[in-house]
Amino acid sequence: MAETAPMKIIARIHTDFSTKFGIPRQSGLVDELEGTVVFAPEYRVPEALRGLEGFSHIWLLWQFSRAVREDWSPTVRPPRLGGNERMGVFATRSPFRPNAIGLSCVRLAGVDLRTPRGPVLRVAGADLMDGTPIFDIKPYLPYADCRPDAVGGFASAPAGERLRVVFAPGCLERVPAGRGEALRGVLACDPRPGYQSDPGRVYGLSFGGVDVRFTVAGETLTVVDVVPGGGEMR
Amino acid sequence: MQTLSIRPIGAIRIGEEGPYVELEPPYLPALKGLEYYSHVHILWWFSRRDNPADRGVTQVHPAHGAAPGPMGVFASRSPCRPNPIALSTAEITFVDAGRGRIGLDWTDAEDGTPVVDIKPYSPGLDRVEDCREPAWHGDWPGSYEASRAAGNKY
Repeated sequence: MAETAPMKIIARIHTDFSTKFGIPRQSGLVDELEGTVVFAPEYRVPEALRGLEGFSHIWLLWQFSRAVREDWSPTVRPPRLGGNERMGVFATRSPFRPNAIGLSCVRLAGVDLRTPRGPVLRVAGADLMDGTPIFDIKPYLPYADCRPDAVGGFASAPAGERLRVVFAPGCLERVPAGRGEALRGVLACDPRPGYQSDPGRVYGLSFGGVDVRFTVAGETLTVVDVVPGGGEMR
Repeated sequence: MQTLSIRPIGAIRIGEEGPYVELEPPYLPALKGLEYYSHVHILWWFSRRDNPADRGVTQVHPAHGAAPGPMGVFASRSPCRPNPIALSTAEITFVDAGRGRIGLDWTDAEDGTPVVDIKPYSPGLDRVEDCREPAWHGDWPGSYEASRAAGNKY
Protein backbone atom coordinates (compact mmCIF):
# COMPACT_ATOMS: atom_id res chain seq x y z
CA MET A 1 0.00 0.00 0.00
CA ALA A 2 1.27 3.44 -0.80
CA GLU A 3 1.11 6.00 1.99
CA THR A 4 -2.53 6.49 1.23
CA ALA A 5 -5.02 4.81 -1.05
CA PRO A 6 -8.37 6.02 -2.32
CA MET A 7 -11.66 4.46 -1.32
CA LYS A 8 -14.42 5.31 -3.73
CA ILE A 9 -17.99 5.99 -2.71
CA ILE A 10 -19.97 3.31 -4.52
CA ALA A 11 -23.40 3.97 -3.04
CA ARG A 12 -25.37 5.91 -0.43
CA ILE A 13 -27.95 4.70 2.00
CA HIS A 14 -31.22 6.52 2.42
CA THR A 15 -32.85 6.37 5.85
CA ASP A 16 -35.23 8.34 8.04
CA PHE A 17 -32.42 9.93 10.02
CA SER A 18 -31.60 13.36 8.64
CA THR A 19 -29.25 14.09 11.57
CA LYS A 20 -27.03 11.96 13.80
CA PHE A 21 -29.21 12.64 16.81
CA GLY A 22 -31.45 9.79 17.81
CA ILE A 23 -29.78 7.03 15.81
CA PRO A 24 -29.82 3.89 17.97
CA ARG A 25 -26.27 3.26 19.03
CA GLN A 26 -26.29 -0.34 18.02
CA SER A 27 -27.52 -1.45 14.62
CA GLY A 28 -30.09 -4.16 14.54
CA LEU A 29 -31.84 -2.94 17.64
CA VAL A 30 -34.80 -1.58 15.71
CA ASP A 31 -35.53 -3.93 12.84
CA GLU A 32 -38.36 -1.73 11.59
CA LEU A 33 -35.79 0.89 10.62
CA GLU A 34 -35.60 0.52 6.89
CA GLY A 35 -32.98 1.89 4.58
CA THR A 36 -32.37 1.78 0.86
CA VAL A 37 -28.90 1.45 -0.62
CA VAL A 38 -28.75 3.32 -3.92
CA PHE A 39 -25.64 2.90 -6.02
CA ALA A 40 -23.68 5.71 -7.65
CA PRO A 41 -24.43 5.81 -11.38
CA GLU A 42 -21.15 4.18 -12.39
CA TYR A 43 -21.82 1.27 -10.01
CA ARG A 44 -25.37 0.48 -11.09
CA VAL A 45 -24.42 -2.97 -12.29
CA PRO A 46 -27.07 -5.63 -11.56
CA GLU A 47 -24.62 -8.50 -12.13
CA ALA A 48 -22.50 -7.25 -9.23
CA LEU A 49 -25.38 -8.22 -6.94
CA ARG A 50 -26.00 -11.67 -8.41
CA GLY A 51 -26.57 -14.17 -5.65
CA LEU A 52 -26.74 -11.62 -2.85
CA GLU A 53 -30.42 -12.36 -2.21
CA GLY A 54 -29.35 -15.75 -0.88
CA PHE A 55 -27.89 -14.13 2.23
CA SER A 56 -30.10 -12.90 5.03
CA HIS A 57 -27.60 -10.37 6.35
CA ILE A 58 -24.86 -8.22 4.90
CA TRP A 59 -22.05 -5.99 6.12
CA LEU A 60 -22.01 -2.37 5.10
CA LEU A 61 -18.71 -0.50 5.19
CA TRP A 62 -19.45 3.20 5.22
CA GLN A 63 -18.00 6.64 5.83
CA PHE A 64 -18.40 8.37 9.16
CA SER A 65 -19.46 11.94 8.69
CA ARG A 66 -17.06 14.10 10.63
CA ALA A 67 -16.31 17.76 10.25
CA VAL A 68 -13.13 18.29 8.25
CA ARG A 69 -11.45 19.83 11.27
CA GLU A 70 -12.13 16.75 13.37
CA ASP A 71 -9.22 14.38 13.26
CA TRP A 72 -8.91 11.06 14.93
CA SER A 73 -8.31 10.68 18.64
CA PRO A 74 -6.32 7.86 20.27
CA THR A 75 -8.79 7.69 23.14
CA VAL A 76 -12.47 8.58 23.40
CA ARG A 77 -15.11 8.69 26.11
CA PRO A 78 -17.82 6.14 25.28
CA PRO A 79 -21.28 7.47 26.15
CA ARG A 80 -22.22 4.18 27.80
CA LEU A 81 -19.59 4.79 30.46
CA GLY A 82 -21.16 8.09 31.35
CA GLY A 83 -18.67 10.10 29.36
CA ASN A 84 -16.06 10.07 32.10
CA GLU A 85 -13.79 7.17 31.30
CA ARG A 86 -11.42 7.04 28.33
CA MET A 87 -10.94 4.01 26.13
CA GLY A 88 -8.68 3.49 23.15
CA VAL A 89 -10.56 4.23 19.96
CA PHE A 90 -9.81 0.71 18.68
CA ALA A 91 -11.71 -0.68 21.66
CA THR A 92 -14.82 1.22 20.52
CA ARG A 93 -16.92 1.82 17.42
CA SER A 94 -16.37 5.58 17.74
CA PRO A 95 -16.17 7.75 14.60
CA PHE A 96 -12.92 9.35 15.75
CA ARG A 97 -10.59 6.70 14.36
CA PRO A 98 -7.67 7.21 11.98
CA ASN A 99 -9.67 5.99 8.98
CA ALA A 100 -13.30 7.10 9.15
CA ILE A 101 -14.78 3.73 8.21
CA GLY A 102 -17.91 2.43 9.89
CA LEU A 103 -19.06 -1.19 9.94
CA SER A 104 -22.66 -2.31 10.32
CA CYS A 105 -24.39 -5.63 10.00
CA VAL A 106 -27.90 -5.22 8.61
CA ARG A 107 -30.66 -7.55 7.52
CA LEU A 108 -31.13 -7.76 3.78
CA ALA A 109 -34.83 -7.19 3.20
CA GLY A 110 -34.70 -7.32 -0.58
CA VAL A 111 -32.76 -6.79 -3.78
CA ASP A 112 -34.66 -4.81 -6.42
CA LEU A 113 -32.70 -5.05 -9.64
CA ARG A 114 -34.80 -2.73 -11.78
CA THR A 115 -35.82 0.59 -10.28
CA PRO A 116 -35.61 4.12 -11.70
CA ARG A 117 -32.41 4.46 -9.65
CA GLY A 118 -30.92 1.21 -10.89
CA PRO A 119 -30.51 -1.85 -8.69
CA VAL A 120 -31.14 -1.08 -5.00
CA LEU A 121 -30.89 -2.99 -1.73
CA ARG A 122 -33.57 -2.73 0.93
CA VAL A 123 -32.12 -3.26 4.38
CA ALA A 124 -33.43 -3.31 7.94
CA GLY A 125 -31.87 -2.30 11.22
CA ALA A 126 -29.54 0.30 9.69
CA ASP A 127 -28.16 2.80 12.19
CA LEU A 128 -27.01 5.22 9.54
CA MET A 129 -27.74 8.80 8.72
CA ASP A 130 -29.55 9.58 5.48
CA GLY A 131 -27.04 10.00 2.68
CA THR A 132 -24.22 8.08 4.37
CA PRO A 133 -21.63 7.08 1.77
CA ILE A 134 -21.05 3.34 1.33
CA PHE A 135 -17.66 1.86 0.36
CA ASP A 136 -18.41 -1.84 0.29
CA ILE A 137 -21.04 -4.51 0.76
CA LYS A 138 -20.11 -7.99 1.90
CA PRO A 139 -22.27 -11.02 2.62
CA TYR A 140 -22.52 -12.02 6.27
CA LEU A 141 -21.02 -15.50 6.44
CA PRO A 142 -22.13 -17.60 9.41
CA TYR A 143 -18.91 -19.53 9.85
CA ALA A 144 -16.66 -16.47 9.58
CA ASP A 145 -18.75 -13.71 11.13
CA CYS A 146 -21.00 -15.27 13.77
CA ARG A 147 -19.01 -15.99 16.94
CA PRO A 148 -21.20 -17.58 19.60
CA ASP A 149 -18.36 -17.54 22.10
CA ALA A 150 -17.51 -13.87 21.70
CA VAL A 151 -17.74 -11.66 24.74
CA GLY A 152 -17.74 -7.88 24.69
CA GLY A 153 -16.13 -5.69 27.27
CA PHE A 154 -17.51 -2.79 29.16
CA ALA A 155 -20.38 -2.19 26.75
CA SER A 156 -21.32 -5.81 26.24
CA ALA A 157 -25.04 -5.60 26.82
CA PRO A 158 -26.95 -3.96 23.99
CA ALA A 159 -28.95 -0.93 25.06
CA GLY A 160 -32.21 -2.28 23.79
CA GLU A 161 -35.50 -0.73 24.61
CA ARG A 162 -35.31 1.01 27.95
CA LEU A 163 -38.10 3.54 27.95
CA ARG A 164 -41.87 3.33 27.84
CA VAL A 165 -43.08 5.54 25.01
CA VAL A 166 -46.28 7.58 25.34
CA PHE A 167 -47.73 9.86 22.66
CA ALA A 168 -49.68 12.93 23.73
CA PRO A 169 -53.12 13.17 22.06
CA GLY A 170 -52.88 13.88 18.35
CA CYS A 171 -49.15 13.27 18.04
CA LEU A 172 -49.08 9.76 16.64
CA GLU A 173 -51.44 10.79 13.86
CA ARG A 174 -48.91 13.35 12.67
CA VAL A 175 -46.17 10.77 12.23
CA PRO A 176 -45.84 9.80 8.52
CA ALA A 177 -47.73 6.67 7.58
CA GLY A 178 -45.87 3.45 8.25
CA ARG A 179 -43.20 5.09 10.39
CA GLY A 180 -44.96 4.85 13.74
CA GLU A 181 -43.53 1.56 14.89
CA ALA A 182 -40.02 2.45 13.79
CA LEU A 183 -40.26 5.78 15.60
CA ARG A 184 -41.54 4.08 18.74
CA GLY A 185 -38.59 1.69 18.62
CA VAL A 186 -36.08 4.50 18.21
CA LEU A 187 -37.59 6.46 21.10
CA ALA A 188 -37.69 3.38 23.33
CA CYS A 189 -33.92 2.98 22.84
CA ASP A 190 -33.45 6.44 24.38
CA PRO A 191 -32.06 8.77 21.72
CA ARG A 192 -30.72 11.31 24.19
CA PRO A 193 -26.95 11.82 24.37
CA GLY A 194 -25.44 9.26 26.73
CA TYR A 195 -24.83 11.47 29.65
CA GLN A 196 -27.79 13.78 29.68
CA SER A 197 -30.76 13.35 31.93
CA ASP A 198 -32.90 16.44 32.34
CA PRO A 199 -36.61 15.84 33.02
CA GLY A 200 -37.46 19.45 32.29
CA ARG A 201 -35.92 19.57 28.85
CA VAL A 202 -37.86 19.21 25.60
CA TYR A 203 -35.72 17.27 23.13
CA GLY A 204 -36.21 17.26 19.38
CA LEU A 205 -35.61 14.36 17.03
CA SER A 206 -35.73 14.70 13.27
CA PHE A 207 -37.20 11.52 11.83
CA GLY A 208 -38.90 10.67 8.56
CA GLY A 209 -39.39 14.32 7.68
CA VAL A 210 -41.00 15.45 10.94
CA ASP A 211 -39.67 16.98 14.10
CA VAL A 212 -40.58 14.86 17.12
CA ARG A 213 -40.49 16.70 20.43
CA PHE A 214 -40.36 14.76 23.66
CA THR A 215 -39.52 14.79 27.34
CA VAL A 216 -38.17 12.01 29.51
CA ALA A 217 -39.01 11.52 33.16
CA GLY A 218 -37.80 8.38 34.84
CA GLU A 219 -38.44 5.51 32.45
CA THR A 220 -41.19 7.20 30.48
CA LEU A 221 -40.67 9.15 27.30
CA THR A 222 -43.57 11.37 26.31
CA VAL A 223 -43.92 12.73 22.80
CA VAL A 224 -45.36 16.18 23.33
CA ASP A 225 -45.48 17.44 19.77
CA VAL A 226 -44.85 16.42 16.16
CA VAL A 227 -44.32 19.17 13.61
CA PRO A 228 -43.51 19.07 9.91
CA GLY A 229 -39.96 19.57 8.67
CA GLY A 230 -36.96 19.11 10.88
CA GLY A 231 -33.27 18.92 10.11
CA GLU A 232 -31.79 20.47 13.21
CA MET A 233 -29.99 18.48 15.84
CA ARG A 234 -31.09 19.59 19.26
CA MET B 1 -15.88 10.43 -8.18
CA GLN B 2 -15.80 11.08 -4.48
CA THR B 3 -13.13 9.30 -2.51
CA LEU B 4 -11.75 8.98 1.01
CA SER B 5 -8.00 8.68 1.44
CA ILE B 6 -7.14 5.69 3.60
CA ARG B 7 -3.80 5.34 5.36
CA PRO B 8 -2.29 2.24 6.96
CA ILE B 9 -2.20 2.12 10.77
CA GLY B 10 -0.05 -0.98 10.94
CA ALA B 11 0.39 -4.37 9.36
CA ILE B 12 -0.39 -8.03 9.83
CA ARG B 13 2.69 -10.00 10.76
CA ILE B 14 3.06 -13.75 10.66
CA GLY B 15 5.32 -14.51 13.59
CA GLU B 16 6.83 -17.77 14.75
CA GLU B 17 4.14 -18.04 17.37
CA GLY B 18 1.30 -17.05 15.13
CA PRO B 19 -0.15 -14.01 13.40
CA TYR B 20 -0.55 -10.62 15.00
CA VAL B 21 -1.33 -7.04 14.10
CA GLU B 22 1.51 -4.61 14.71
CA LEU B 23 0.49 -0.97 14.97
CA GLU B 24 2.55 2.04 13.99
CA PRO B 25 3.76 4.02 17.03
CA PRO B 26 1.21 6.88 16.87
CA TYR B 27 -1.64 4.39 17.28
CA LEU B 28 -0.45 2.50 20.37
CA PRO B 29 -2.62 4.43 22.86
CA ALA B 30 -5.68 3.48 20.83
CA LEU B 31 -5.46 -0.12 22.07
CA LYS B 32 -6.49 0.71 25.63
CA GLY B 33 -9.46 -1.39 26.62
CA LEU B 34 -9.33 -3.86 23.74
CA GLU B 35 -8.20 -6.51 26.19
CA TYR B 36 -11.76 -6.60 27.51
CA TYR B 37 -12.96 -8.14 24.25
CA SER B 38 -12.48 -11.71 23.14
CA HIS B 39 -12.71 -11.09 19.40
CA VAL B 40 -11.77 -8.33 17.04
CA HIS B 41 -12.53 -7.13 13.52
CA ILE B 42 -9.54 -6.31 11.37
CA LEU B 43 -10.09 -4.13 8.32
CA TRP B 44 -7.14 -4.60 6.02
CA TRP B 45 -6.19 -3.79 2.45
CA PHE B 46 -5.97 -6.21 -0.45
CA SER B 47 -2.92 -4.28 -1.62
CA ARG B 48 -2.14 -6.62 -4.51
CA ARG B 49 -5.62 -6.00 -5.89
CA ASP B 50 -5.37 -2.23 -5.72
CA ASN B 51 -5.30 -1.70 -9.48
CA PRO B 52 -7.93 -0.61 -12.00
CA ALA B 53 -8.48 -4.08 -13.44
CA ASP B 54 -9.16 -5.82 -10.13
CA ARG B 55 -11.16 -2.88 -8.82
CA GLY B 56 -13.33 -3.07 -11.94
CA VAL B 57 -14.36 -6.70 -11.43
CA THR B 58 -18.10 -7.17 -11.10
CA GLN B 59 -18.42 -10.94 -10.83
CA VAL B 60 -16.30 -13.78 -9.51
CA HIS B 61 -16.33 -17.54 -9.85
CA PRO B 62 -16.30 -19.22 -6.44
CA ALA B 63 -14.01 -22.24 -6.07
CA HIS B 64 -16.93 -24.42 -5.11
CA GLY B 65 -18.35 -27.15 -7.28
CA ALA B 66 -21.94 -26.47 -6.43
CA ALA B 67 -21.86 -22.72 -7.04
CA PRO B 68 -24.64 -21.75 -9.48
CA GLY B 69 -22.39 -19.84 -11.80
CA PRO B 70 -20.70 -16.50 -11.20
CA MET B 71 -21.49 -14.46 -8.12
CA GLY B 72 -21.66 -10.70 -7.96
CA VAL B 73 -18.64 -9.22 -6.15
CA PHE B 74 -20.93 -7.84 -3.45
CA ALA B 75 -22.21 -11.38 -2.84
CA SER B 76 -18.64 -12.50 -2.21
CA ARG B 77 -15.64 -11.74 0.00
CA SER B 78 -13.40 -11.67 -3.07
CA PRO B 79 -10.31 -9.43 -3.01
CA CYS B 80 -11.30 -8.17 -6.47
CA ARG B 81 -13.90 -5.50 -5.79
CA PRO B 82 -14.30 -1.76 -6.26
CA ASN B 83 -12.67 -0.99 -2.93
CA PRO B 84 -10.14 -3.70 -2.04
CA ILE B 85 -10.82 -3.63 1.69
CA ALA B 86 -10.99 -6.87 3.67
CA LEU B 87 -12.91 -7.69 6.83
CA SER B 88 -11.66 -10.49 9.06
CA THR B 89 -12.76 -11.57 12.49
CA ALA B 90 -10.34 -13.26 14.82
CA GLU B 91 -10.09 -14.29 18.41
CA ILE B 92 -7.67 -12.09 20.33
CA THR B 93 -4.85 -14.22 21.71
CA PHE B 94 -2.97 -11.39 23.41
CA VAL B 95 -2.78 -7.62 23.59
CA ASP B 96 0.71 -6.17 24.00
CA ALA B 97 0.02 -2.49 24.54
CA GLY B 98 3.69 -1.66 24.94
CA ARG B 99 4.63 -2.88 21.47
CA GLY B 100 1.25 -2.22 19.89
CA ARG B 101 0.56 -5.85 19.05
CA ILE B 102 -2.69 -7.78 18.94
CA GLY B 103 -2.36 -11.55 18.67
CA LEU B 104 -4.83 -13.26 16.34
CA ASP B 105 -5.84 -16.89 16.39
CA TRP B 106 -5.63 -16.98 12.63
CA THR B 107 -5.48 -14.90 9.49
CA ASP B 108 -5.60 -15.51 5.78
CA ALA B 109 -3.61 -12.37 5.08
CA GLU B 110 0.03 -12.46 4.11
CA ASP B 111 2.89 -11.11 6.18
CA GLY B 112 3.13 -7.36 5.73
CA THR B 113 -0.50 -6.79 4.74
CA PRO B 114 -1.53 -3.21 5.56
CA VAL B 115 -4.16 -2.77 8.27
CA VAL B 116 -6.52 0.19 8.12
CA ASP B 117 -8.78 -0.28 11.16
CA ILE B 118 -9.36 -2.33 14.29
CA LYS B 119 -12.79 -2.65 15.84
CA PRO B 120 -13.93 -4.73 18.79
CA TYR B 121 -16.28 -7.56 17.94
CA SER B 122 -19.40 -6.68 19.85
CA PRO B 123 -21.88 -9.54 20.12
CA GLY B 124 -24.85 -7.20 20.29
CA LEU B 125 -23.83 -5.63 17.01
CA ASP B 126 -22.06 -8.31 15.09
CA ARG B 127 -23.40 -11.70 16.04
CA VAL B 128 -26.43 -12.83 14.07
CA GLU B 129 -27.61 -16.14 15.44
CA ASP B 130 -30.43 -16.58 12.97
CA CYS B 131 -28.73 -15.87 9.67
CA ARG B 132 -29.09 -17.55 6.34
CA GLU B 133 -26.70 -18.20 3.47
CA PRO B 134 -27.36 -19.91 0.13
CA ALA B 135 -27.80 -23.67 0.36
CA TRP B 136 -24.82 -24.39 -1.87
CA HIS B 137 -22.68 -22.03 0.19
CA GLY B 138 -23.53 -23.92 3.34
CA ASP B 139 -21.82 -26.96 1.87
CA TRP B 140 -18.58 -25.34 2.72
CA PRO B 141 -17.01 -26.35 6.00
CA GLY B 142 -19.74 -26.45 8.60
CA SER B 143 -17.61 -24.86 11.23
CA TYR B 144 -14.95 -22.24 11.54
CA GLU B 145 -12.45 -24.80 12.76
CA ALA B 146 -13.08 -27.11 9.82
CA SER B 147 -12.72 -24.21 7.46
CA ARG B 148 -9.38 -23.27 8.86
CA ALA B 149 -8.23 -26.86 8.76
CA ALA B 150 -9.13 -26.99 5.09
CA GLY B 151 -7.16 -23.78 4.51
CA ASN B 152 -10.18 -22.16 2.90
CA LYS B 153 -9.93 -18.71 1.48
CA TYR B 154 -12.96 -17.00 0.06
